[in-house]
Amino acid sequence: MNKINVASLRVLQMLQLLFEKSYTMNELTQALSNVSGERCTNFLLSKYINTCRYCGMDIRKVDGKYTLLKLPFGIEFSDNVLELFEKINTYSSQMRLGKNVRAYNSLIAKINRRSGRYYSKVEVPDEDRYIKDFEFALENGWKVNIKYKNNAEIEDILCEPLEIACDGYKLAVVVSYLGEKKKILYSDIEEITVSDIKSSGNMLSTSVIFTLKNALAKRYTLRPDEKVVGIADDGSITILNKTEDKQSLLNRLLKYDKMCEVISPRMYRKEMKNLINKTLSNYDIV
Amino acid sequence: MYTFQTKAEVTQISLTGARLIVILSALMVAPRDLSELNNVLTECGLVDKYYSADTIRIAISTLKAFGCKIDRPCKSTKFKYRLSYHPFSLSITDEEVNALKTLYSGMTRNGDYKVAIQYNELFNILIENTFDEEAAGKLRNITAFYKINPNVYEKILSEDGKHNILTILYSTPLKQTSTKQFVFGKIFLKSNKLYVEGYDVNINKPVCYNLSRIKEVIKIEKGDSDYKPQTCKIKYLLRNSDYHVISSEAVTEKMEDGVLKVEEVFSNKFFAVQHILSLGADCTILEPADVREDVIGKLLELSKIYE
Repeated sequence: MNKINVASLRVLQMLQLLFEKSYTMNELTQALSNVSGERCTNFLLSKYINTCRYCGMDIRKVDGKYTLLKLPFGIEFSDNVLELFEKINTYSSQMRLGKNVRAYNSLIAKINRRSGRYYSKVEVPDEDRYIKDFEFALENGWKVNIKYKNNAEIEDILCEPLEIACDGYKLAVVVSYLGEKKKILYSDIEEITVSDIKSSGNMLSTSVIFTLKNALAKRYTLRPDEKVVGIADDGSITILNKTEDKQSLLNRLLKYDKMCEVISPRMYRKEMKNLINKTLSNYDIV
Repeated sequence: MYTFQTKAEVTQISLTGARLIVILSALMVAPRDLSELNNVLTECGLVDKYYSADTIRIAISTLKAFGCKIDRPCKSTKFKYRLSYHPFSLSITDEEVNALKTLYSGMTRNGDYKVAIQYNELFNILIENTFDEEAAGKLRNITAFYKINPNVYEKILSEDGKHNILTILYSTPLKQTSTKQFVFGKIFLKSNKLYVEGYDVNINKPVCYNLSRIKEVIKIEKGDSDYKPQTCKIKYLLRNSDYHVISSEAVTEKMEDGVLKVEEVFSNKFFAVQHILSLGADCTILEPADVREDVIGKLLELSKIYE
């Protein structure tokens, strides 16, 4: 076995403990004794803490517990990224991103512990009840009732929550309804309530198949949850899409014009035809 | 790297502990050999004399006992100690990756390529600071800029706004490689891909190239500083505008019936037509006439497919 220096090993072990959480002197002495298998005294612990402080680590007593506030090595960001952090703060303050903001803040907290600078967390806007309920249902596997404006009418649907999404500066909830993915703008929502019906888990049953031809087939980048299910001799590809919401998918495929054709289900072909005709009617052509 | 406190400020320290912290932090920055580690220790003012090779080796063994993975110095590491894992490394959870993905897609939805580039820089720094390969892979996939040759990426970004003449080696979607020469216009983001638009002086046409298909920037020559990129400006009516994303640079006017009148500039006619089609029945293009005709023509062709 190679020779090691025990005292310096203890310094790092203590630092690692403080990295995870804050401790009182007694708790830290006990925790370090448990990790090292040797009895640690208050005197030794103070020496180790002083060593870390000497190296520039900001260890302070907060509410009677030793707390590591800063590790002066590790992650450094450029001015570009600092500017991005500001933009994220501004963006998030305008959105109600719920758990996404909390997850972002937890990452920033980890970064702060590993950096010589302090990067500010996003201020979490007042928790919105509907978003909170939607997230609760999502995490615990319950269906939700959503009442929302659909054109001039109010619709009330029982659906399975999938995610909270941003569409530019617009917030939306994404749900599974009648086997299809559906995006509902937050601004259209009148009410969300958690139902007492469990989610089935097997939520999306509609699979859409479409073909892409010519150069588009070569340059197309598959979306997440899309897969190529066939390649023809002429280079055309057939793609299976399971998760995109119907309206977004049809609009997206429409922009590929004749280089794309929806193959199945028949209902989607019919809806694509309706969409084309409705668009043509804008130009007085049917 | 450090600002050490004076010994008067802090008494009773473990010098070996401080030495180990310095060595660990030095290895976090880059692989180093014995003499480089000694230099770091003296340069930071911790000690004023060189340690023996054995002392440094004991420190390395201690770091390994702490849980660090340090490759042995060999030819492939240029005889340097290389840190491949340490217990303080950044762990990134799936929730955190998803949060970044949501923020990224929301903030770049309107085609803000500068934000996309800033995110890419952030992701690269996070990837450098984590040993979690799975999280790193997911972060790389958010921007997918890793598909762009790093040399091309840097050169193209540094050319933004200069209007120099670039000669590039370009691979088409059909895998044909050819040399292109164009006056640099501007960079833009579309469908999460970076493009550069410009004007091909040989064929006298506006052009647009996907950065991930540029194999090499062969030559950069002084260009025309008065160059103004050719664009395609369109006007259209948009209903249900809340359901659609339009560029942050678009000029909009709200009509009495809630319909939005939009004036938007695209790099070329192709992108303009694609945008109009993607808005479906909520959109009616007003002008220019040739784009309007193109849109109608494509819709008529499509209607035949679904007959």
